Parts: sequence; C-alpha cells; structure tokens
Amino acid sequence: MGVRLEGLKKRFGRVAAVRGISLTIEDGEFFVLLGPSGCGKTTTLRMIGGLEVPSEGRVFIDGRDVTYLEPRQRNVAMVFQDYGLYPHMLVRENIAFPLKIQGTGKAERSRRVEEVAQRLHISGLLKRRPGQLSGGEKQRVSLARALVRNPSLFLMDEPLSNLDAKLRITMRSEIKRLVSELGITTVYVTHDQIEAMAMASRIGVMDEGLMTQVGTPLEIYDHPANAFVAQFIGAPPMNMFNATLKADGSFEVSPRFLGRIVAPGRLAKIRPSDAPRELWIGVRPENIHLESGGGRRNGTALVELVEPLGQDTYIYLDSDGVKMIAVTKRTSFAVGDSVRLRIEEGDVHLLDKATGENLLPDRAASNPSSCPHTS
Amino acid sequence: MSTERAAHDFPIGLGGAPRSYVMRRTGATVLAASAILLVLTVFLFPYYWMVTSAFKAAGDVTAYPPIWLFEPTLENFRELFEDLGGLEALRNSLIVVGVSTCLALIIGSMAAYALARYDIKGKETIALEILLVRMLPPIVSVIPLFLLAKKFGLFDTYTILIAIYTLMGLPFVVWVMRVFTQEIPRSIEEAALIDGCTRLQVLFRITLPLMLPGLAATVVIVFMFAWNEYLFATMLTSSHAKTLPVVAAVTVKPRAISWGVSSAAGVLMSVPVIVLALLAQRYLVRGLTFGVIKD
Repeated sequence: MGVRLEGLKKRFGRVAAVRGISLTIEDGEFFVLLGPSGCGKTTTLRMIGGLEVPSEGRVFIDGRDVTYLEPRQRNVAMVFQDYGLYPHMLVRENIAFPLKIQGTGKAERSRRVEEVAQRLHISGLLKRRPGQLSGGEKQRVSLARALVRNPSLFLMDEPLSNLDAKLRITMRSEIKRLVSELGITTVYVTHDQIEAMAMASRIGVMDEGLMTQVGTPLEIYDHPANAFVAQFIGAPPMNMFNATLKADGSFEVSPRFLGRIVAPGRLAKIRPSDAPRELWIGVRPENIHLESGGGRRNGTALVELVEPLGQDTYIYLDSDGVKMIAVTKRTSFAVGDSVRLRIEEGDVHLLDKATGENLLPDRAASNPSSCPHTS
Repeated sequence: MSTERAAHDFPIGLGGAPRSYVMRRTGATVLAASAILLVLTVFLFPYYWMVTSAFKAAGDVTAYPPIWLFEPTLENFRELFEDLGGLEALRNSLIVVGVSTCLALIIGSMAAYALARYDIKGKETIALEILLVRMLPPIVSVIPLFLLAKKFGLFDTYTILIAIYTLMGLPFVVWVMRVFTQEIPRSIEEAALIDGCTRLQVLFRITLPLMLPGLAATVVIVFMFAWNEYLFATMLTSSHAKTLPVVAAVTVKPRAISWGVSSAAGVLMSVPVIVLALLAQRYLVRGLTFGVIKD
C-alpha cells in the first residue's frame, strides 16, 4: 500500500508546522522522515495517520483519498514515542484491543495475540500490566499491538528515542527485520540521522516544514542537496569553510590550500555573476586524510585535540586559524603535532551561502516527489 | 546506585545482615507503629466517644467520672427520628447531596476534559474564573440567594439546594479532574483512535476507566462538602427541604444541649460518608499514588 501526499500543509494558529509537502511512498518501502525537532515530521506523520486534519492538501493511502477520514477508517497502525499502552489493561488485553474493537472472535483473538507475542518474544509478559514493564518491553508490546491486526500501513513516531543507547541498536535492527519480513509499507519519524541511515530504504529530510531532499541514505550522504542536509547528515557534521568566488573568476578560500584542490574546471560550471559570490566548501571529516609526508596540494594543520573513541578517532585541527575535525582509524598523532592534510577533489562539496544550495550536487535528487525508489 | 548495593548486601529476610542492622530495622518499625497508634487515637477517640454517647441514656452521657460500660439504648435515635424529623432530613440530604454531586461530577468532568485537551481561547482565564467562584465566602451570597429563592418560589425546595451545591462542587471537580486528565498521556487516546475506536469508544473504554481514581477521590470530597453544608441549608429551607445538618444543629439549643441526640445525629451524618469512603477506597489509594504508578 503506497502513500501519496499532495501539497500537504498544516498551520497551528499562526505557526505553519508543515508548509507544503508532496511525496510518494512506494508499496513496501521503509520511508524515514528525518529532521530536527520542530521541522514538521511528526505533524506530517500524524496527518497520514488521521490524528491531524491538514490545513491544505491531500493524503492518499493506496490510491484512496483519506484526507478527511477518521484514523479508524484508514487501517493504519502506529507506534508512539511514549508507547501509548493502556495502563488499565493487561499486556494481553493491550495487544488484543484493536482486534476486539474490530469484532474479532475470542478464540481467533487469543490465537493471534499468542502468535504475535511469540514473534516479538513477549509471550512471558502477557499477564503483566504496562506499568510492570521496562522501556524495551513496553516498546515490544506496542509493536505487537500494531502488528496484530495486519495493518496496511505502519506509522512509527520516534519509537526508539526513549530507550537506552544499546537497546536502541538492538531494536533498530529488529524492527527493520520484522518490517521487511512482513513487507508492510512503513513511515518512520526520527531526528536521529544514524537511525535513519541504518533503517531506511529512502529518507526524506525535512527542515522548517518543507521536504528538503528525498533519496536513499547514501544518495543523501554523498550528494546533499543543500547546506542544511550536508550538515544535518553525518556525525561529526561536515566541515564548512568560507570561500568567495569573485566576479573576475578568481577564488578565495580559507584555509588557503583548499584553493589548490578545487579545480578551476569545477568552478567554471557555476554560472558567473557580476557580484562576488559567497560560498561554503564542505568536506566530510572522514575525507580529511592525515599524513606525515607532504604533497604539492596538501595543507598543514596543528592537532588541537584527539578523541580516541575506540573504533574511530576524532581529531580536532587548526589550519591557518580555521578549525576543522577529521575522523580516522587509530592514529599516533598527538596534541601539538603538525600534520599534513590531503583532501581528494571529488570529496569536496560547493554550497551557495545565500541559498544553501549545493552547486555541484552531481546526481543529487532535485525533485523529491519524482525520486525513484531504490532499495 | 547506593540502594542497589544495599539490596544486594542484605537480601530479603535479612538472613545475612549484621545484627546491628536488624536491631535498627526493628527499632524503626516499633517507633513507626507507636506513632501511627498515637495519631489514630487522637483521630478516632472523639468518634468513639460520639458513637457511645449516641447509645447512652440521657444521664450517662454527662456523668463524671465517665461511664465506660453502660446499657445501650436507642432512645436518642427515637427522639431524633420521631420528634425532630431526622428520617425526613436524612432522605432530603441524600437526594439533594446525591443529585448535586452527580451533576457536579458530570458537568465538571466534561468541562475539565475540554479544558485539559482542547485548544480553547483563553482557557487559563476560564479555569481561573471557575476557581474564583469557590473563593467567594458563602455568607456574601446567602442573602441575595435567599431573596432570589423567595422571588422565584424556590425557597424550601430541593431545586435551590441542588443548584447551589452543584455550583459549589463544580470548581473543585473542574480543577482536580483537569489535572487528572492532563496526567493521562494524550498518546493513549490517540493509540485507541488508531486502533479503530470512535471518539465515544475512546471516552468510555479508555479515558473514563483511567479517570476513575480521580473521579472516586473527587466524589468523596464533593459529597462531603455538600453533606456537611449548613449555612445555605438553614437559610434557604424551613420544613420541607430541611437537611441533616440543620436538624443536627437543632439539638444544640442556647440553654441546653441534648448531648445524646446530638451524638445520634452525628452518627447518622457520618455513616454515609464512611460508607462512601470505604467504597471508593480502592480508587482513593490509586488516586493518591497516580503519579507513581502511571507510565
């Protein structure tokens, strides 16, 4: 069951939470709405589920216009951030509740509850009350309640954000496996870009009520459509360096060695204008390579801080007074060392400071709604 | 962290705990029990005295030194019911207080739900104004109400007392139930909507059962307010709609207090409240610990 949103808008009083979203989510897709808090992602999800009525625009589920239908007329299931379990019912009753409301017979109800409980490994919890469960167990129960009725669409609103870091990673893979086994179309809201990258078949990045970019996780990572996406995706975030493209075609950037890396040929692609143009040069931390020897195009920097995280090492650098962060594997560099920096030309992003637009997006998705589904 | 360690070192049953720890624990238990006993005595002795006085003969009540063992008599209750119209007053009280408590609860809960859940313009002001009604001293409004009741032919009727007691209970219901409703996470109701409920089903299957502890606590308190109310009852009734507090007050005359009858009235007045509190006890305890056990 696919989902189609057409020009979806939502205002709360004077505040525009969602400012016009058009999007097609294909059947069986795991689609993640990603963005900082207040970007409108949860509101969008709630409009799909029928918990909010859009101010403008339409919502289609499986080709049917459901914009003004009640949640119960949409056959969607939803998992909430705070689980939304019924505290006065046993776990068994919680899971069976949607079936009971549908009028499913008692025997059938109990059979399906057992089945879904087994699948989620919560058979031993059925006689408890939600208040007696841990966060992870509650989330499993809430998933079970969503799964038990074979919904046509699965909505998840930051389901993992109340769990501790370790449990989050376990549940993340479990949800992904479960959903792909069942093949149910899923819309998943999160502000955690790592979660989004790990789970999504496609990600829609939202900012200030608009869909900024839609694409597969790697498309978005490698070819961010604008400065917001470039900085929001990736941890630590992309390094951004100030640069100016002058009217006569000359190029100034700080630190200066970057000027030797950005090939004049790439700059020529940017339409020249009369006024000088302020740019950002973006380089992902893992694309700054630290070397002890030097090449012609390499720069130098001073190591300011080293954070050995085990798997990776974050190195904070200062080059000509410009701060940056590099990520490497284990390294012997120490604070105060002088290092040579190597950056490959293909790893450099050019972004317009005024509009945020990525000037050389290569094959970044320019039209969110028409982006093909790749999984 | 420290409690975890303590639990680990001294497993339940205190089998492995050092002697000094066990002694300390026992000492603390004895001390706590004594304190509870003392407080209970302070609260329960007057009630005990009232109940025994109600069943004592006229001379025994005021006897000094007090008589602890006596032959119980129902004379005081006979006087209360037959001479003072206690039974009628009891019926009046039950009707007036019962109806007004139900009304306050139904109207108040609905208002509280709306104030807690919906985006109503200026709802904080509305809530405050509702509370302000409660702050008005009753004596201020009793004279105007008396005049109005006379004018509209409502003097000495159930209607006027029911209306006043409902209005008196409303602010309390609204404020308490508003907090209780706010404590129920919105996502629980939304989950029910998604699970296929209509709005009405959500109210009856989810919201109301969750509000029960709050409702139980509120009903006891609102009932007690109205049940004990004297000022309006005495000013706005004469014979037909007279309630129990008015009758109870009659036993205390300027020159002589009939202690036995007065105690009998006290017993009669306290019975429904005690029964109600016992009935609601299960929910009252849950109501008090609501914040602790909720998710």
